[in-house]
Amino acid sequence: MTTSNFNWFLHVMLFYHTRHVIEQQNIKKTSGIEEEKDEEDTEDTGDDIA
Amino acid sequence: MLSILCTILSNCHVIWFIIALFLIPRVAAQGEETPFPDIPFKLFSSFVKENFGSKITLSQVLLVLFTITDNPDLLNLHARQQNPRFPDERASSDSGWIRGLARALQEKLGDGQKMLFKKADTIDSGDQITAIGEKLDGLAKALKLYPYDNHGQFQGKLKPISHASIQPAQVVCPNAVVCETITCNPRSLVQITKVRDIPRVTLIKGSIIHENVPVLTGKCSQCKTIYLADRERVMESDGRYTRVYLNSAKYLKIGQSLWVDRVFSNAVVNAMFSFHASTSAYKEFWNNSFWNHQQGNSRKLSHRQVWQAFVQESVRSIASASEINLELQDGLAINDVTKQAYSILGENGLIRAADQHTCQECTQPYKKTADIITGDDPAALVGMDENRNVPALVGENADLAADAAEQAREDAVHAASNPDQEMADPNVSYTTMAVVDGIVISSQHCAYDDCTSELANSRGAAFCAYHEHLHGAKCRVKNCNVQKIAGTQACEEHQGQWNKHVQRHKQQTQAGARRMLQRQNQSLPWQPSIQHTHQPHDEASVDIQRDNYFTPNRFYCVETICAPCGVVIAWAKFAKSESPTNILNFLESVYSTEDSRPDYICIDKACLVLRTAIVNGDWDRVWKKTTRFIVDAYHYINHRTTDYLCRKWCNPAPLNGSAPNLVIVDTDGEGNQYYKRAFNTQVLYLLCKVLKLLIMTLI
Repeated sequence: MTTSNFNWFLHVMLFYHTRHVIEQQNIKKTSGIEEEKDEEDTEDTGDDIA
Repeated sequence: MLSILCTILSNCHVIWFIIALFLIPRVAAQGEETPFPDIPFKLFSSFVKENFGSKITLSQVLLVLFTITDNPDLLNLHARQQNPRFPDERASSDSGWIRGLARALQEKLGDGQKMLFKKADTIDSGDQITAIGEKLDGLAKALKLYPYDNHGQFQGKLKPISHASIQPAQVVCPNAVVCETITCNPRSLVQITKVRDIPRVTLIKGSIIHENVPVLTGKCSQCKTIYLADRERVMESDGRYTRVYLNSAKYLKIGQSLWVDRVFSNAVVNAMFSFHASTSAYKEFWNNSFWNHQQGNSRKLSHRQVWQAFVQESVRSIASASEINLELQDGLAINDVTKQAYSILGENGLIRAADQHTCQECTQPYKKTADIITGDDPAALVGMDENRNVPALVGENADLAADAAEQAREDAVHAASNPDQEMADPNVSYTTMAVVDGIVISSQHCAYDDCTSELANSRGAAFCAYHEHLHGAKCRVKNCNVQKIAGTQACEEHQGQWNKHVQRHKQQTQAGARRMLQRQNQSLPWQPSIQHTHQPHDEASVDIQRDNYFTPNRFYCVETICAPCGVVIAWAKFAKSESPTNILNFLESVYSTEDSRPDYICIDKACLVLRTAIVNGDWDRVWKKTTRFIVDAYHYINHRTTDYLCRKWCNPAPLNGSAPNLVIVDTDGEGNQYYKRAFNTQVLYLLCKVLKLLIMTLI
């Protein structure tokens, strides 16, 4: 990877990381829902009928 | 052999069973489709007129049509229930299947469902589902999407309905309506490409490949600016052309005859960010997931096109944050685009998205005095030293540290007898912190001493273009001016050194199996022992001089400044070491004004940075008035016993309340108040891990 590609790639990734962090903060602020709750896995069999 | 034949013949019923298995009609293979209903439009129109309200809209009619064509499995089930084969089966024209579809359609239409009925229809709300079901059943039969003939004979299961014949014609064209050049009038744009010259390209929209898509080009006849879907080409006064990368582009060109929409290009960037996918990994994923399942003559996606999509999308994304359209010289190669884009949009490593960012995690209301002042040693650390004695300082200035502990006890007694009521300040100010850390990432630069320019060739060159030219054909061993032998990088005298280098770096040892199998920093007995310099974080870095220029130098690390909430403020590459001087220079370049400086800067080697700043005068000149340097907790518990400066000035969360803005009071389950850290100083740990993964996949 050339230096210029490295620089650009790293800059983009840090930019996206920052934007992602700020978006997550805004979502938390507006919805008040903890991120952990979204990521909870549930033991779902996939069946609609018990 | 004979015995085998006899056995087979004697078990011939088994063979007949196997043959019978092959004769049973099988489920349609994946990919087989039923053509889209091709009935005359007049028939369809008549059905709509006869069955639906006169004010039904086009979108509602199309919704009903596609509800039928997208549910062939349900139509199969419904039709089977209408045609019983066994005595105990009951024919039902109003099956549960069609009622289910009618209910789904009703929900989708909302208030528009009343358009499905004619004025003359008088239907109770309870019978509406049945009535809609009858209309859907009738439409399915009119469209010939019914697997039985007029005699009730099964004609074969309906397969998924192909929508290929109703795909719209795609055209890639500029999204500007008029000429947008400021110095020109908003004239209409004319299509300039001759019919025979109109390029036919492949267009990927989302995950669907469209072939043979024409690309049209517009031109302002006054200012001669050329408009394409993703860019404008502007002629400057000196006759050169500038390319404007339009942030509003709907489609992006990522190959000679390949265009993609922004959904695709966004997916590429997000995949690299979220999955740490390399261009090759994403190419494999996309080709296996989407290209393989689409018929056509388009070529597979290449990793170069994925990189092009990444660059084109990211350039626009970051330019949007800066509220500009990137303008570069027209016709640049993709490597030059990234170089120019970084010089214009990179802002020397400042992250535009973090500009003016504040949140509850990275700012705390300023406090003049602590909520709780205790008699703990000033070197006691929140979360570590509750209910235990702090280890004493050993060595130089131990007496000063003991005096400070005694003074803290006296201050606590004084504070308890004279409680200082903090007045509410109408102009509430805030305390901020920045966390600084580095990650060792290998990125190459010129091997020449003190030159960090880009390599002339990133695949094999050791010098930048300037030093490559300067050094010419001289031996690559330092201070040797003899001509090198052709095919090598050394003169005759230094051939031994060169051969040793080749042996160590050839494919089989360096880049081959060893790199794949070996863990980082692992040293196995059969491998050549390489002397790595270990740089303790609290000691000054040592400049190591190499004796040759066979390989390029590598940057030592990437340093990042982060807010405690995880927002990255800036980054920089350090060429030789994470030295305190480099850190101070980096901090000063980012925080050039007093107002912008944070109140605290947490660095894992803050004590060393502070010591250097005091010695070189930066402390008095820049930081003393605004900022304090603190170390992280892990550093502090180890270093406070040996270093007085670190113990006294760099405590990240003093338990005795001597730094009221670094600790906040919380209450435990039993109602007891306790101190916890006001800022998260471990935020860069995770970021560094992620960055390392990202970079390792791409280098």
